[in-house]
Amino acid sequence: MEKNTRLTFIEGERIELLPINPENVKIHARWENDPKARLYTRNVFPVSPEDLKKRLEQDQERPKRDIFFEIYHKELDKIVGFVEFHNINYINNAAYLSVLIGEKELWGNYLGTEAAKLMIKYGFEELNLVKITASALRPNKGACRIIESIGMKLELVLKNQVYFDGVYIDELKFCIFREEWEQMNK
Amino acid sequence: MTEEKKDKEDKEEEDDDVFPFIKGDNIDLVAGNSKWANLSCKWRNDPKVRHYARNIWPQTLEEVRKRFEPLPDKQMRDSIKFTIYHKQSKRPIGRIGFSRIDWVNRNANIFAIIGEPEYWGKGIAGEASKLMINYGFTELNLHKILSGVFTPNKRSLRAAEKLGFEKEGVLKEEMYVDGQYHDVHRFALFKRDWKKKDE
Repeated sequence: MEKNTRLTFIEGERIELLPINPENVKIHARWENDPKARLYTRNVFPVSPEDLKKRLEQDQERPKRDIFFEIYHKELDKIVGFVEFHNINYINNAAYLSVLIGEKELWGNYLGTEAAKLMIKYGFEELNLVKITASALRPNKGACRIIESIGMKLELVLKNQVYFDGVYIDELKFCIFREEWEQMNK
Repeated sequence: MTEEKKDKEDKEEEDDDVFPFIKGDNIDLVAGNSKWANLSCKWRNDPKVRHYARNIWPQTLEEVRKRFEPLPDKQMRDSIKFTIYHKQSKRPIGRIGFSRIDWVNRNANIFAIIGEPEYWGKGIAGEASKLMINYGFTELNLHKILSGVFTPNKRSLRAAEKLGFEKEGVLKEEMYVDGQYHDVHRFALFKRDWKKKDE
């Protein structure tokens, strides 16, 4: 993608965050359905490009309850995943963060970490949030690594919360507060 | 049915439809009710009231009724309105609310209209405003409440000062009223200053 046609919204070192491009809906569908990628996200229902298109169309309200970005990898010149805020609550000033690196061969490179860090900064400095939360399933080592490296702390364990691969497993809830984040970034 | 009995039943009926949201001493802030559309219409057209409320368009009953319709299914509203209900007289006497609510910047404009002029000068707007401001800071988590008052509206200027609003600035010749341009005085109140008052 050419620099001047690319809709960079937030710039990072290796990546940029872009608004969702509806033309990429087939790539999005591939990631959302991919068995390995969806393993820990608990997408148990198949998702078609039409479903995704519809989801985008519903995104009309202001202030936004959910915000989605594509993660664009500068060197590879392609989008490699999503990062999102869900259930943004403007009275409680809190939101739920979620990251997905859809291109499996890029796992283990801390791209998710970089995306999450950019998102957290955006949330605290632009959306005026006070608390950002995230969750991960206990066996999901990759997510737990990202979550810890961005400075989130374990807040809750929901025991046997999720039905996964034939058994019930724990869901871990993490959070970070603006005050803590400001301290970390001094 | 005698006139008296009918009146009493009307008043009791009134109570059934009154849903206080925030309770005060002389007044409650209640949810709007389309039953009161005719009163609201009267206030919006009444020359005395509309002079200060700045309604320059005539309002039909149909137009006013539409305002009582359910809001579109949105998560967050950009305005919140209450009817000011006088407890002793058991009647709605005005309207108060926040408009231009900005949820990310956490500020909103407060407005209040006492539609029945016999209730002017009795501290009603002040009481209603206190309830509204408290709601804005402690329930909506607002950071700043704004208000704009044009110069001839001396009562509102005084009320704003009594409530602790500070003058932020003057928008010169911002309003055209009765053939003349008038300044609008911008007032602001911050959550940090409001809490101090309560203590």
